[in-house]
Amino acid sequence: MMETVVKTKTPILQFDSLNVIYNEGEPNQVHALKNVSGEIHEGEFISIIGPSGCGKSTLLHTLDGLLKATSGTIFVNGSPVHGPDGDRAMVFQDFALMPWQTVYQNVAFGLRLAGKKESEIRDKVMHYIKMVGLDGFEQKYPHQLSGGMKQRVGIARGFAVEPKVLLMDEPFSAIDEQTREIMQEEVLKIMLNEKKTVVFITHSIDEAVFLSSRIFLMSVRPGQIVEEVKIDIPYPRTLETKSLPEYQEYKQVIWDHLKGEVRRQYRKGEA
Amino acid sequence: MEKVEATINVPSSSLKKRKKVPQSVSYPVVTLAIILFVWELCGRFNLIDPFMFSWPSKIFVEAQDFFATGEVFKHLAVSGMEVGFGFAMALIGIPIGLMMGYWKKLELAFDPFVTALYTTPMIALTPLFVLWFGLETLSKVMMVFALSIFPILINTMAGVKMTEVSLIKAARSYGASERQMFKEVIFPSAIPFIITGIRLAIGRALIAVVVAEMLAGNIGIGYAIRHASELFQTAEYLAYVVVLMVLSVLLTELLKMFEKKLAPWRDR
Ligand SMILES: Nc1ncnc2c1ncn2[C@@H]1O[C@H](COP(=O)(O)OP(=O)(O)O)[C@@H](O)[C@H]1O
Ligand SMILES: [Mg+2]
Repeated sequence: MMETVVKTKTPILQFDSLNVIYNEGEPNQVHALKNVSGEIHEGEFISIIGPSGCGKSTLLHTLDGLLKATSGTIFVNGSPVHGPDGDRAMVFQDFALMPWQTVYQNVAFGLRLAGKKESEIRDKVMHYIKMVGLDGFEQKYPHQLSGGMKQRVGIARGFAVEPKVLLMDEPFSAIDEQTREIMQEEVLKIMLNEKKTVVFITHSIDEAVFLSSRIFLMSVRPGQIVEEVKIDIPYPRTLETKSLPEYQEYKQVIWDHLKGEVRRQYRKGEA
Repeated sequence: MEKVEATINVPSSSLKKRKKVPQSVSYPVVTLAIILFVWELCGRFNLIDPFMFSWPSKIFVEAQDFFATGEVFKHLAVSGMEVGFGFAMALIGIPIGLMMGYWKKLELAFDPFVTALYTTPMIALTPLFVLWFGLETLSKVMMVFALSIFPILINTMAGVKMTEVSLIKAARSYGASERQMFKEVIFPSAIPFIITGIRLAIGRALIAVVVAEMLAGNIGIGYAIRHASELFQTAEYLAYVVVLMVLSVLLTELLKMFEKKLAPWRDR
């Protein structure tokens, strides 16, 4: 009894004073993340917003375990992260699809690496290919697809391994408006139905407010989380959500912050 | 007005839809035809001394002759076998190149020597190889091996190192073991480079076998060439060279087909 209480309180993802410095000690050293801390709980939808080059991708890669932080710690369900594992799956900003694999093989990638049975792979792969609207394209190679379609393959590949936490790096940036709305609804549905946790990078304030339970706002480099905005609008959210007065207020708050950061970046550039 | 624009902007091949032969075939064929024609004319008008050189129809007659007697097949079979064995052995360059490209320490330890051996005109070692491995088949097989392993190895290594970092990251993120990394990412990424290496190696293998046969032995295309030249049978001699030429073109085309099969994602 005691134990379950304690467990529910443990954040699914907790990171403490993360610092990431690229090329440390060399002339081209870049301090990408500075003392970034945060807690993410199961079922949360977290968006990260910040100016370009502020370290959003760096943070996501570090949370995945792909990138080793220069200092700081990451815990998943209370145990330290030493590298990538099956609890978290990445959707990459540049898609990172294998050019020599078909859509089907790309989506099956994680399952195949995990040594899953062929029949299980087929079921899941076909399910998620359908979800992203790519049925009929299973045998195509990435170079035969548009940017938006490639991005959807990347999303399906992430979903297919059914991780506890989905790390998505600007997953909808290349997708057209209509498909994006469908994808947003799908992601929300999966998050609610399967109690998934999502960490999501976006440039769209509207998208962030619509999807998120909380938004992390980042500063210009060295990237820090300077503000957390809790979006107190209950799920499930629909198109009507967007006409609520508080929805517009949230957008304004975030926009004001972002404007300030972008101005700071310009001033830095001029100095 | 419109018609004028079209003739200016659109390549003629797309205008004439009935034309089926691709330009990559038709153009070189025309070039070849012109060369052969002019060459033949030079021969017919006694501009070529048959003792010093020859011309197409004479070479063709000669070639017909040794095809009819089966002479050429005897030599081709031996040379082919030598190239086959030597080349099969040289394919060991693929796994070695994969490892040297992947493990930095291996590269550091061996790369200077591999480069040195690759750039050395190893054909100069032929007499030594004959001394070591005898006048028979073995010395030729070893020469083919020695000349063709390095382009394969070096290109494979380059292919591994050219693997896109983002793909390696993706594979690591999805939990690839070292073995899976090779199978799913590094090897497929290196395939086009490996094929380039093999293409270069084919040329070197043919040189190796011909030179080795010319220097020692009494059978094979190289031997046949030497024999014909010693008897001043210039037309026959050139006919053998043409056979070699056709052979290397065929092998290269075969490789291209193989590449399409092996790397279907590259046909754009
Ligand atoms: N591998 C790397 N080596 C050196 N600098 C890097 C590397 N990756 C990213 N950076 C730098 O770190 C900063 C943060 O990059 P990134 O996390 O990609 O930003 P964002 O995703 O917010 O646009 C940028 O200035 C970028 O140039
Ligand atoms: Mg980024």
